[in-house]
Amino acid sequence: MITLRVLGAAVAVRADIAYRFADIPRTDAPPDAEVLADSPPAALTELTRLAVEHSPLLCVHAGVVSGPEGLLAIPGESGLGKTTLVAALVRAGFGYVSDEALAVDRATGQVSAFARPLALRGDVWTLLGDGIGPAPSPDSEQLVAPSLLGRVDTDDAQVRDIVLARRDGGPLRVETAARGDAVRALLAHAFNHYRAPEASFRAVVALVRDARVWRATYADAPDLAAGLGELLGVQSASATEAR
Amino acid sequence: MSVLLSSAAGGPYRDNMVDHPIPAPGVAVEDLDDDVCLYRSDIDEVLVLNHSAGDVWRLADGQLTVPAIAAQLARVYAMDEAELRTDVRTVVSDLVARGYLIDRPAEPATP
Repeated sequence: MITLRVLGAAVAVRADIAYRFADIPRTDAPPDAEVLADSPPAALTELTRLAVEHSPLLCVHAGVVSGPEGLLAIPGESGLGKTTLVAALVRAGFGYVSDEALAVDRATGQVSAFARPLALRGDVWTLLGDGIGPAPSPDSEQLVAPSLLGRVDTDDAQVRDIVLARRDGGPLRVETAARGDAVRALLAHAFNHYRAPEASFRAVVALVRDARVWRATYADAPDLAAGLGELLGVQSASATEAR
Repeated sequence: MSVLLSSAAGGPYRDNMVDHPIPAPGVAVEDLDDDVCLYRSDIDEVLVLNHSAGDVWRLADGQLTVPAIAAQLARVYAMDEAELRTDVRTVVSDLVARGYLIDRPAEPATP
């Protein structure tokens, strides 16, 4: 077994599966829990569940990427296609931090990365371009190592932008939004704020206080990714090479 | 003046007007820009008060009556006090109904 440091918890995973989670750091700490699933996709689901269950951090359901000024967090609204969106953002030049959780220390506000593999459906593959391996069938999922998509960023950083995104099939629109809306959205999508509700509320407000808040509506993940890249001064590696 | 609400009324909400409004126990408060964020952990609800409703909240310290709050704000905003009194009453009534404000507890009678 190999023990991984996930969301501040230590979770043991079978070595033959743990190698698939290469971007998640190892730890020598005694494990808080052990993953029993024997397939990588099932193990990833269970690893996430156990990590949230044992995490001392405030965990919010969100995609998180890094840009030149800090982290960008997208709370996980239903129907958003969060993992696809995060994958598109990484392809667009943002650094991968997590497709599942924004993990925040309630006392310090420090954010911890959770660079787990992304479970992508076959029908999403063509959206993301070349270089990530053969696509699975359209209605099945495959784990993709984040490093195949682009840059992985596990350095501690602050949240500088929060995007309240909604996929509505229309043209891309990005506009500033009220910080209070971000507070509501982050708490509404918190996995474990009930463990310390007031401290969680205060941590969320402190995080939002230092961030810019945007509201975005879009049709496809690459559209939003390109729009956010332009807004925040991020260029994809291919765009940089072409210059 | 209006209260920005995070959820529809109903459920664990009261229906009273009060003389000397004061924050209800257990309400967490944080300033956020010009707004005031309130949080009731018992019902897991966030309420965001805009600038003017936030001013009413800040003056609801149990010492001032609703008319006195309106009078203070009328001086600050340079507005008509009578008009403001209606708005302040609405905000206070709303926050009482939602459980964020209560009436100042009565002082015990001296023997």
